[in-house]
Amino acid sequence: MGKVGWWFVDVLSRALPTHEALAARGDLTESAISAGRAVREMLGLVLRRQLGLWGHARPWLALFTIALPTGILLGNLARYWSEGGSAYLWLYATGADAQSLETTVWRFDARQPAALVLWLCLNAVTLAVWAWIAGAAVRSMAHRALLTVAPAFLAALVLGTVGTISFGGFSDSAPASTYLYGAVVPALLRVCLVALPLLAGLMLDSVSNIVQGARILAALAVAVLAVRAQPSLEIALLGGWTSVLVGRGTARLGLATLMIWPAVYLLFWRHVPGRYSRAS
Amino acid sequence: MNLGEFEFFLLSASMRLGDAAYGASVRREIEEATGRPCSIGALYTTLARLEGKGLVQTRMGDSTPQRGGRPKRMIRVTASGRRSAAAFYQAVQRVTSGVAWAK
Repeated sequence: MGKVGWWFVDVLSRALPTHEALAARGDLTESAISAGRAVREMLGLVLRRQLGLWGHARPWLALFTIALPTGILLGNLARYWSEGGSAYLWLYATGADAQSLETTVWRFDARQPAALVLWLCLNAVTLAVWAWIAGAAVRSMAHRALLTVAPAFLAALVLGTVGTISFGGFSDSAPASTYLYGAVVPALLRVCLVALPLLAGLMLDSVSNIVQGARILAALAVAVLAVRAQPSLEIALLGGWTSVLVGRGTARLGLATLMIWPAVYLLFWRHVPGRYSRAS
Repeated sequence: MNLGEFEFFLLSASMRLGDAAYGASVRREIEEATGRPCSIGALYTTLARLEGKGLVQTRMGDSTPQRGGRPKRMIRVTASGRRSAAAFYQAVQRVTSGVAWAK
């Protein structure tokens, strides 16, 4: 436990403000306690600090306006598109006929290779940019509470599809009957196009120095991608409990707002000064 | 200003240690005096609360080899902190006056 335990203490201490992390880590070293006890002590301090942060508005705002809704929407859209991507990969990898996807919603693009490539590329960009922007917005909104908000975001991403039905006809199609294209490829696409960009946004402070002109362009790009993704998102949400999110016409405006909100916050709103934002 | 029991312990230990008051030394002092373990989480969150109330001031101090080269967080009780601790102690004396275990 020794070295690994102290390494874990150092990892935990990163969740604290730098001066407090150094002082607490030094106190533990000076106390000459076991690594196991040091882990418990540091974990206790970090948890107390994290709980204390929930007395501010920003962690709640990050949780309920970005982490949970975006996690659910992104999780469903990523599943829908990754299944489509997997179906096309299966089609071209096996040399099967486009008729094989006749029972799915992807039957049209399968007949037009050029449109198909464009579709796949745009989907990849949309998912990656949306996930990265949402992660960066959560980091910006609740930097110090990331240790509790980020797991909630990831949980919403994974659990948001539980109890829902996969739309698009993928589960009844030929590629879904293979382990590789039915399970492995969709999972890999979701990890590469959503989970990794999301983690990058959560962990890297990569947008703080973007100039104003680039911010406006980036916000416009995200808005265009969100508008483009809207029809797919509605289809992706139709099954199971998530159908309530698109049950009424007015809900569409809410969905679009939720999709664009992280970019709006990240690129403009976060520059509004606030006590907690500066402290974080 | 009202104090909790642990806040009073922390202020008293810091006063007793004077210029040698920092996280680890205050922790040792409280553990020896009360015979109870004092977690670093309780210590630092209480310290932050007391600092927020203006009852203590902290600054980063020297580092030593025993601490792996990491700095100490030095603690100084403010005048307001001394008044609050004194008021707490007097209240304890008054409320225990004539009680069997206080004799």
